[in-house]
Amino acid sequence: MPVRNRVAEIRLERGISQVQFAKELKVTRQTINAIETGKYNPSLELALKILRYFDLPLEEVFALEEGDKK
Amino acid sequence: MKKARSWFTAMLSALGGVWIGNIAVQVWKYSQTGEIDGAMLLGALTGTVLILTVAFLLDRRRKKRGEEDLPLADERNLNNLFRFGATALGALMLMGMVAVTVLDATGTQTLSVRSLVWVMATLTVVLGVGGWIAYRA
Repeated sequence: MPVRNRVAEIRLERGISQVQFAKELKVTRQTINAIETGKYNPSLELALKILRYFDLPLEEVFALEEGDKK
Repeated sequence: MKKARSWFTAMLSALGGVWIGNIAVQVWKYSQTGEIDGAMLLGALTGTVLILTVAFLLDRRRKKRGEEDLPLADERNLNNLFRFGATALGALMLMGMVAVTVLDATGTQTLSVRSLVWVMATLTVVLGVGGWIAYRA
């Protein structure tokens, strides 16, 4: 089921580069790029790390694509 | 520093594997025929130069992008690798089954060990190169 995220938007709002963000989360820059472009859905662990880093609740960063049935 | 060490460990392990295999086969061949396989030695040397060149270029690119402190792989790479492995093994098993069935149906009941060596070598190369590409994708 498609998941959309606002990782790129929030990261850019805060003026953080992909490399810097990747260093904080201990992943590759390519993974950050894949998450931001919707090519890869992070594991629960990585998603929680992203939420902790942004200090935001889940629904403000990740959501199921609208129109999908529950 | 720790990541750089793990990178060099991986590279040295690959080179070590190439040379241990090469020396073991050379010793065995020398004991059997009294000759050393020059082509194999050249292959190992070429492999060493290639591994060192690729490692050097990758390292330089990472430093240029300021990515030297980032891990070389993460959960996405492992996912890619496992997905490729599962798909490739399934496909290869299917192809093997079809090939053996066709051979059996056409009356071939024996195969040379040399042909198996080629099949295994091809599988190793396909899985190795494909795995590397999938890992990096």
